[in-house]
Amino acid sequence: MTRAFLKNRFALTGLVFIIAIIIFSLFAPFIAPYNPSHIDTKNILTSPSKDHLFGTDTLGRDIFSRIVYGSRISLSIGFIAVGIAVLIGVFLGSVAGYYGGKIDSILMRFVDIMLCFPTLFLILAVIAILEPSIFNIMVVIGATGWMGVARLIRAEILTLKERDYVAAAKVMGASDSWIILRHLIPNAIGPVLVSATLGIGGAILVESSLSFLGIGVQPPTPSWGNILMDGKSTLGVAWWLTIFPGIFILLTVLAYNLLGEGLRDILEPRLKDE
Amino acid sequence: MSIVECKNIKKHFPILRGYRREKVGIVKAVDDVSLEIKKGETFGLVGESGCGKTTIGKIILGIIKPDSGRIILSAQRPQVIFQDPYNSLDPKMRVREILAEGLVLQDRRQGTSLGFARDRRDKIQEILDLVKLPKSSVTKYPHEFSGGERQRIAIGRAVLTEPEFIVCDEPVSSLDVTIQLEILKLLKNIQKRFSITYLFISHDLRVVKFMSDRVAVMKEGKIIEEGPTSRIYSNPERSYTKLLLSSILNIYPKAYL
Amino acid sequence: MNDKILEVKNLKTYFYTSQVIRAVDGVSFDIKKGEVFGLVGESGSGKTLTALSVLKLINPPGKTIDGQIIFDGADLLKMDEDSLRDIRGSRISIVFQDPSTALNPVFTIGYQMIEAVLAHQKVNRVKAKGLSLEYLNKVHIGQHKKVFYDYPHQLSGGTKQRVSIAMALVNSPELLILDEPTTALDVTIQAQILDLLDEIIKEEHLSIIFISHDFGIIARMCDHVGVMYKGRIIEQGEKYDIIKNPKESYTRNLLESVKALS
Repeated sequence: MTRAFLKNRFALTGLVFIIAIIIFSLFAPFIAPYNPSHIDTKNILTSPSKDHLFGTDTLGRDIFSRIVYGSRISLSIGFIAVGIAVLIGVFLGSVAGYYGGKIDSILMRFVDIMLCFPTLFLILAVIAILEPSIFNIMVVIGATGWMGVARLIRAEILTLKERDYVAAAKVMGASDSWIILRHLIPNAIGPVLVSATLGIGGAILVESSLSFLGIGVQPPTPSWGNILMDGKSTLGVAWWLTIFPGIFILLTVLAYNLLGEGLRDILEPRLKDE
Repeated sequence: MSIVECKNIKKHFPILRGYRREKVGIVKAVDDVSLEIKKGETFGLVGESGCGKTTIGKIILGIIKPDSGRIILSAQRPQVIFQDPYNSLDPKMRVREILAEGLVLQDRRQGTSLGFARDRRDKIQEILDLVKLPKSSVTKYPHEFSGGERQRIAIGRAVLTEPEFIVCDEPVSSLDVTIQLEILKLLKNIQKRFSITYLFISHDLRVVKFMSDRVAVMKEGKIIEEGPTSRIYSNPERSYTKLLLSSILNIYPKAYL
Repeated sequence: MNDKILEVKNLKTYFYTSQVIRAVDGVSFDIKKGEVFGLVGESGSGKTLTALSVLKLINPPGKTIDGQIIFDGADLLKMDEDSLRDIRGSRISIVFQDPSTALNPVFTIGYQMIEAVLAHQKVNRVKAKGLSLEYLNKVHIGQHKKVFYDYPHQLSGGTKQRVSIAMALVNSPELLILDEPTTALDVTIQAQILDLLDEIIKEEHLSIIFISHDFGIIARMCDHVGVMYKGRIIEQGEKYDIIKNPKESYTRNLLESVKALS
């Protein structure tokens, strides 16, 4: 499978970029020339120059440094939010798919209900009630994004549980949780990986939207979204406040989408071989 | 002494139609079946598709619950060998994990510690020798093996826990004819060595004759004839049995072979 | 006058994936008119692909890269698609193991048979229907008039296979290829279908290629036999010669397995 991965240009491009951004964020203290919170009233809204690669904002803070540190926030929120969604979705989806019957009906009705909510507004409402901390944001995005995963896993498990190796395990005395954890989930996880990868891009977009609206990551902590927020009022005068974070969001989400699509290409034809 | 006794087993499946899943009829998969399998013998269950032989096998194993009737199982924990070598092994598990699963589950049940890794490794090697697979197989995945080899792994898995009783559900039907003979000989070998009782299910009359001491013929959920293999094949009483045997003779006339 | 209906010379069909798979690796055989030729081999021997190659039904990543298939004086491998389409289904027909692949689940049997007729014969719909019913009757389908209006899923396996055979015969082919036609069926139905094939061979004066992994069935049905192993025909000849004097160890192995189980 690694061979196929390396041959797929989508997956490779996406992965390379993502690794670059991750390194970027990990080594932020070494890459960023300035402290992202350092206010320099003498250099308000300067355009990109030798000193300030991406210019400065309304408080004289270096945009480049803010974007480097902001990547930490955006990436980790994306990752963890999707992680939470996957955990919830895999758990509920497996239980629904494996046990079937009433449990399945109830859980799937619950999924249907959750899907009726316009997610972004639900998140807005929840964040408005609770405080917009990074932790809350992660949890809320995750708690509203698990439904697709649940359906995917449930569909896979519905077919897989009829396989002979599951029956063989039952005959050998395996418990339900053993079968689900040991046999079903590892074999069902393929489509979930694809969905999760694409979901990270989506989560980053949600976080950016929230921050842009002011109810996401709060200043002075930099996030690509809230740099955009600053840029809103200065769009005519300081294009660099909007363009640079915008490009980073775009490229990162694109990278995750490419990786996700690439994974789908790799996993799907393999399913045909089986 | 009997290993398995089935008394008046019935299993019906409803036929559901439409999105509201209304019951429009029933399929009498197993319709009042009673049988007895004695220790050490190979009991053959033969019939065409849909006669219920696989369903009875699954009921005896406990995979399906009968609607009525009793099953008395005197064996510890019966094992199974399935028909399709491409679906009976977990594609994400290595051979050593597949083989060891039975032991691991046994340890968990009995509460014994899992610290005997070396014993387990030795046992796995023993079984690989028994089913004539190379030692290097342990780290490989099922897709690296052919159908016949996978079936050997399935047999190894079934035998590892030293069961007294194994249900063989069409174990060679998906295999090429030269491999079939090898696998059947292996099964007989194992039976002699470990004194295992077999329930041998198949639609192939020739294979059933080769393996079984006694045979039961099933049709539409009922056992219509039962008896020692030699008697059934030379002096069938029921017309359906005669039909099956004459079909076989039609397809494989002795004159040619 | 050539008494051979088909001459296959050095047929090679390779599959180009991460490795090159030599599925059919230099296969040659001749079939005389009216003969039943058996191609026997285990899974992976290349027998099905040989049949598909004859009708040029190989799709990428597979490709027939060499050889000649001489049918009625012309090399099928050098023919254009249009001419081949004329031949497929009318002069050379094929029946597969799984009738579900030949029968479209969304059309009735009658519709599919009429389409098969109209594709190759210049007759009107009424005549086509008449022909279809005639052949459905020839394959001994009980209630063939009712089956004409049925959908494939309403029929049993044995009946579906009879329909496949009827569809293959309705345009009076000269060569019929049967690829494991009875393997998926119950033993009582198998016997019936083989009897039916016996009858048809006699009545329709066909030449036949019969493919199976089961030497017993091959022995019952065929005059000439070719034993395939890993893409090659390793032994070929009259049925009785091969059975009495198998030259290759693989052939001997095959025969022994069948004998042991009888």
